[in-house]
Amino acid sequence: MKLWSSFVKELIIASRGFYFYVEVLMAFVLLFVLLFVIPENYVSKTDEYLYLDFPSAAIEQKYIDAFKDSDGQSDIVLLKVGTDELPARLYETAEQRIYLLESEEAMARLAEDRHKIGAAVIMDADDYELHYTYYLQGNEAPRLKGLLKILHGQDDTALIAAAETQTVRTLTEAQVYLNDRENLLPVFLAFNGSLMGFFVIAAYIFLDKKEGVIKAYAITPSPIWQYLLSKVLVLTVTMLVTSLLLITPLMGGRINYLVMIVFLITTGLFASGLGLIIAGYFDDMAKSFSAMFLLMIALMLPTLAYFAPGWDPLWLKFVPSYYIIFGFKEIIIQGDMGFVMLLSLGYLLLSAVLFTWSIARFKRTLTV
Amino acid sequence: MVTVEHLYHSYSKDDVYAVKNVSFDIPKGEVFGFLGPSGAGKSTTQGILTGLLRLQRGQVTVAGYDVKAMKRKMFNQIGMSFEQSNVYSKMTARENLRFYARLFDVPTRDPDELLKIVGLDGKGSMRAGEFSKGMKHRLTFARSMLNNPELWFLDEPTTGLDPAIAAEIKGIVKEENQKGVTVFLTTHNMYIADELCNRVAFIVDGEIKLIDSPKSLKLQYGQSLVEVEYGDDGHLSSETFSTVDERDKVSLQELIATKHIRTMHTKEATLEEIFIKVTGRELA
Repeated sequence: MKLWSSFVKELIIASRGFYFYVEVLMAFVLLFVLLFVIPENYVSKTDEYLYLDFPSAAIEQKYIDAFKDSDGQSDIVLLKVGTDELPARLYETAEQRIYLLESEEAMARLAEDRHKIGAAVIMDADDYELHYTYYLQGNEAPRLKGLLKILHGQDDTALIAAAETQTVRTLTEAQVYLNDRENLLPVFLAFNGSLMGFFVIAAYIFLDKKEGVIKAYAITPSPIWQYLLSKVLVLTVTMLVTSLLLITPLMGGRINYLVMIVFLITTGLFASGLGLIIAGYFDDMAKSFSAMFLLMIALMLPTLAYFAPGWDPLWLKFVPSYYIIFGFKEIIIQGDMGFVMLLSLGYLLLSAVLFTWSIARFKRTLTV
Repeated sequence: MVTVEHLYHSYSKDDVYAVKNVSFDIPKGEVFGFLGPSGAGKSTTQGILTGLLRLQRGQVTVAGYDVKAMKRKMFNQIGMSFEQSNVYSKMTARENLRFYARLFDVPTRDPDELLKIVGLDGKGSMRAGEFSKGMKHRLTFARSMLNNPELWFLDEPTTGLDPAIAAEIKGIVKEENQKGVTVFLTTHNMYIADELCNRVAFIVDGEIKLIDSPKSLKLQYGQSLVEVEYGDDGHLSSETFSTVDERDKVSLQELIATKHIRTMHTKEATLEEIFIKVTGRELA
């Protein structure tokens, strides 16, 4: 009954406060970004600037027809460089926008102005041999520069034949690929849903410290753990609402919601526990800023491993947010639910340790 | 109701004591005043008695409970009005009182009745954040009465209040005391202590210098003189008489019989004067 009263009181305060609406607004902003800003499958097209000089239009057209995926259709466009407008023929493929310029000088100006790679392909009218001149920015990877050097060193046909004889074998058949929106969801959930909680609960407690209401609570028969737990419960409810607000429009009925809710709750409890510890050791938000900032940076590090799988050192796996992000991903790809439940148990145990620690800390620091 | 024996407390946990060798006891139904300047150790002592500070050394019993092994149910019997108002500013006055009322295991008073008692009638639906400093103070005071406490800790209960409200608060304290409530009053205001307390303790630099009733202190430290102002052929004259010298007694009676007495005051010492005399320090 006392816990329920404290919980209701916290809900009232949260609904009349600033942080609750920040969390809800943040969830809406992230949802908006996911649905309307990030395309389901993001494909970036590169711009390439070419100058072609062939002995005849027929040979040039044959060269153009060899552009991968091009339908052979082109548009005449005007490209602005400073005050000048340079005419170009634009061919689009699935991955490239290829601009054919009227002169080598125009191609070089555009490459310089747009910081892109340019090339002049000239066919000798006597021996019909192709000559390539590349305009690079200088910051290209050494591998690309090396490739361009050797590319024309031997017969193209030999290179193509060699490539065709290579066998590419997929080792993991059950590989699940997420679209770009789904791929961002685990990170958004980890930070908006779970880790935001540690910041917000600390803010709530600092507000109570400022108003002195913790001392008033301490002079009642209600134990301090109920005071702390009521805050954790409110944070958990808020986090569940805001996270489901993000999840349901994106994932629909394609995930196991029971596992998702269990994982959201346990990771939320863990994040709240971190917030309680911070709030127990500092008097106000300003004094806790350095600790909060460092913790936030540390917790964000696993995001790098998530987006750049090539960088995944062993020590990173000891940062608690690592398994929060990968746990959410596992649920979204409908992977090993047993593993997620095991993670949930781990976070629940960690939360219990943090909660016990924070109770001991708060009991000791209720100064007059 | 309260027993304190050889209480010591050090914030730095060394030999620098905020409170040292403090001993006193408060019988049930007494209003006990703890008088001292800022930093004297009043709040530290009160913090230990209410469990806000951990007992380091000494024996403390509050409402029958040993503070060293304090039980939460002890708080059903005590109330505390803080010097600094501490209410939830985002909740209304009524919500504040209702919330705290639910935290007790004993029957509690009706929030609206308490609001009326402290002069906040009709303000129950107003958020505490919109209250003036005085109104917040009264709400904090009202909250301390929620559980009908047997032992009532009052920390500067009239500080910052206008005289009319302060008088009302003093009236409430007297009324509750008449019902048998024991009051531990912490203040540096000698007038409220003089008016309300059965006994006062003077505390300076963490040590109790004296414990006695205000009346006894005044008799002990006051002068046995009476100052009389009277009309004498259209002029206002004044004379001072000893209340123990026989000749002065006769002269005083003669003056009362023959002159028109305007004012007559005994020259008793104020608590502040006694405090300064005993401790060598001022209260403020």
